[in-house]
Amino acid sequence: MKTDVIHCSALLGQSTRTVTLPGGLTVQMCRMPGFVTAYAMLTVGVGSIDTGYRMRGREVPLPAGVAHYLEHKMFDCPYGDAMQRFDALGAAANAFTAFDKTAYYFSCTENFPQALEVLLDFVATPYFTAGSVRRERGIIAEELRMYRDSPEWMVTANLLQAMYHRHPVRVDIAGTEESIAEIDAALLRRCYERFYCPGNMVLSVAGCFEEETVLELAERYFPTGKKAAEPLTAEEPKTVKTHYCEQEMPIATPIFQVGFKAEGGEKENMRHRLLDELLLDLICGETTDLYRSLYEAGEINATFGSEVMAGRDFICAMFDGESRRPQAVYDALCERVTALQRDGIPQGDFTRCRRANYGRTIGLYGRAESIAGLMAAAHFSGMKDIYYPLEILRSATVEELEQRLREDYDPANSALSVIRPQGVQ
Amino acid sequence: MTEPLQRRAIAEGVWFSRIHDPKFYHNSISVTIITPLCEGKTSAAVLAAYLLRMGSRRCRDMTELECRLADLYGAVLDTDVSRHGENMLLTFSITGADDRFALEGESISRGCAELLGEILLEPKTEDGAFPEEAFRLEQQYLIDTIEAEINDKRSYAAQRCTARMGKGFRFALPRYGTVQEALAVTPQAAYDRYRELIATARIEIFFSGCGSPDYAEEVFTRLFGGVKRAPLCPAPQQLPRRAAAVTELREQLPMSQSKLVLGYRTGLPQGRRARTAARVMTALLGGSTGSRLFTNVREKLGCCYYCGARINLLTGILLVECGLEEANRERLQAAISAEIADLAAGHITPEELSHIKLAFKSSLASIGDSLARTEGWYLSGLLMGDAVTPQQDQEEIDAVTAEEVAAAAAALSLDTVFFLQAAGKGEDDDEN
Repeated sequence: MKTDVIHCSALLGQSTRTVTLPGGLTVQMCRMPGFVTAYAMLTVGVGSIDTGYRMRGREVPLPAGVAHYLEHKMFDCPYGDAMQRFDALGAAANAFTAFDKTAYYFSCTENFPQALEVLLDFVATPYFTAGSVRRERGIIAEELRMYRDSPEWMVTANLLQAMYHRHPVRVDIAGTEESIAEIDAALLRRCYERFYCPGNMVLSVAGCFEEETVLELAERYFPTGKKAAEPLTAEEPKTVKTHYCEQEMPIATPIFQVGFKAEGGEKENMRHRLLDELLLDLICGETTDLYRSLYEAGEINATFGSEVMAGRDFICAMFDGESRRPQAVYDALCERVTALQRDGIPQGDFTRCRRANYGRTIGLYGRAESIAGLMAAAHFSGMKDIYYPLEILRSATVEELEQRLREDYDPANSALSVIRPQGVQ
Repeated sequence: MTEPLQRRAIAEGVWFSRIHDPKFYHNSISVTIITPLCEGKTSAAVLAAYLLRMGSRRCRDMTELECRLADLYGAVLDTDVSRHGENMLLTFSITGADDRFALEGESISRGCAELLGEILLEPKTEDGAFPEEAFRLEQQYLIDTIEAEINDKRSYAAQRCTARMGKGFRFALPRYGTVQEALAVTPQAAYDRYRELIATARIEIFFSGCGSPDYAEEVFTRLFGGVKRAPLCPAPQQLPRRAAAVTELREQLPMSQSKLVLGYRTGLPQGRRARTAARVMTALLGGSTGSRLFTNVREKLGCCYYCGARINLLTGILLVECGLEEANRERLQAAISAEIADLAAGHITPEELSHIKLAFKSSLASIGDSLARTEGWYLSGLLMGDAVTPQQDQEEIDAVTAEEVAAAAAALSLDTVFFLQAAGKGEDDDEN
């Protein structure tokens, strides 16, 4: 059944419209007066953590990296490469695969209806040939090698392997050279059929465009659809697999990443993510005494930062940077968490961090690409609308944060990943 | 952008520009200090830039400064060190939510202007120098930053190729100086260098966003009114137009993927029209997913993840970069050379030229949807000495002909081939 909902933000003077089409595709739109760019993103609820699905009671495993391989090959069309069509229209297109989703997007300042048609057409029309799929294997293998040479990438990849026992978030998004060798055109076709269903997709458009054009085209390309396959989920213990891992690479200064593993839950992740971003600022943000003491002791430098990594059924809070004594930084972070759990969060610090996060969050609503991203995230996380983050920041309380800190920041469930310069202990 | 750029001098060699657009929710103030790159003086300038974040007259330390930023609704203070041809650029910017989002009626943009002005012109000092303790930390950070340039193998390879091509020229001086240079700087030397920059560098200040720039202009006019200015304007260096011979360089690192960088001299196209043609040629060769290198080399050969080209009109260098397995090197290099030769021979279809022009058009039209890109566009134009609007630039791109593109490709001469060889993890280097 078709539904049509409008959400407004009086604060921003902005609104979004969400329409669910009869075929199951959800279309989200945010027109931005004064902007000339249109940004459209078609997101599919399949990512690298989907390493299998359940069908007629049977579990069907998939090789690691299949969602990413599919993303590379979706641009192949009976007429050639969809990229060339975008180029001919002056649209800049690209795609990415994340742990729990795959997104195809473009931006343009003219020919928007034609470019949207190219996007919808190539995602709606799978076209995989044996030769093209085989050729892509070499490109993806090079991509894997490139990431293996990136210390920033590897420090996170290793941390995820340390933190997770079985959850597929511990496997590289692009898979491995061995796993991609198992992927052929027939397998890509089967994965497409299982996951690329309108009910498992969302089209998010922001900027300068006509709503009726978007709805008309979306309905034309995705008139009906069957239900997507049920993805397999792995039982993941709360504990981490190991508290420490390290690797040597040709770098100058050691880099590290610390992760606190929390329990993931699809409906709660967006709220938890926003609260965790506040918590990270309160634990070791630049306004804290801990940050200053570590900085002044030379344990961290300006590269130090933090982020929350959250997906469909996982969430973890991370700190990273360069340090000659990563273990000392890790210990200090764990001590700080324990102290905050014991003594509580000072109200003044909380108010300051909340205000800062509120101001920074407003910036998200001034860019078409971040609005489209927020809309897609809202859809998959069950968030009621894209203005919910501002509401959470307005209503968050110290007590709520303290509860989150107690429940999901256990130093016993944390890990440290280090990349050391080659040959240096 | 609803109004064109408005720019006026507020002190000798200090310019204040306004970019106003009510559609944004934020305001940004940036101050760019522009000075000729100078051997032996780079690290002191970078250290000064780092140290300015450590406190000011009213902020005793970095924590107080960060708390002020947080109280300004999470305003973000950024420091950036970059090169623009023969110049070094130190950019300090502060970006904050517009006043209308303040919860207690305070002016965020006024607070941002005051804080940025204070950081730049009333830094924290001890006995006429930067504080010793903070200096030592930032000195170590600078050394780490210089040494960490090897971490990103792609940019490291490009930088090694450029350094070879620019040997003896200012533009190729290391962005942060060298470790030896950084070690030789003292707290006094860094502060003296900063005072020298404030007195002699060209300074471009931008206020961009939805709010009123009046107060920021007032703040910086007052602050620079108290500085005795004597701007420097050294003569530009004569750069090489063509390669004399091809230099082959090879280094090894224990890594998975090799990097190939081909450095071409562009012939230093003179005049806006020739420079515009060179930009179009670069885009056609390897600037996007519709380019020759992407479609004919990456996609058809299927043996590299990236293969692209970029041009620097100020240094007269075009780089083609790719990540590959060594076994494919000759095949790739031959394919890249063939694409350049094909362009130089004028084999350019009206269709591909029009597609590239359309890509420029879309990119140029969208500049006004981003504060950072708008500011970057005008700053770059001012530094080149021929600032035009994106619309004017688009008209010039539309006028470029296939013959002019072919001429730009024909002017390319291969100067340096840099190969960063993946030695395989854990393997010893077996050649030099």
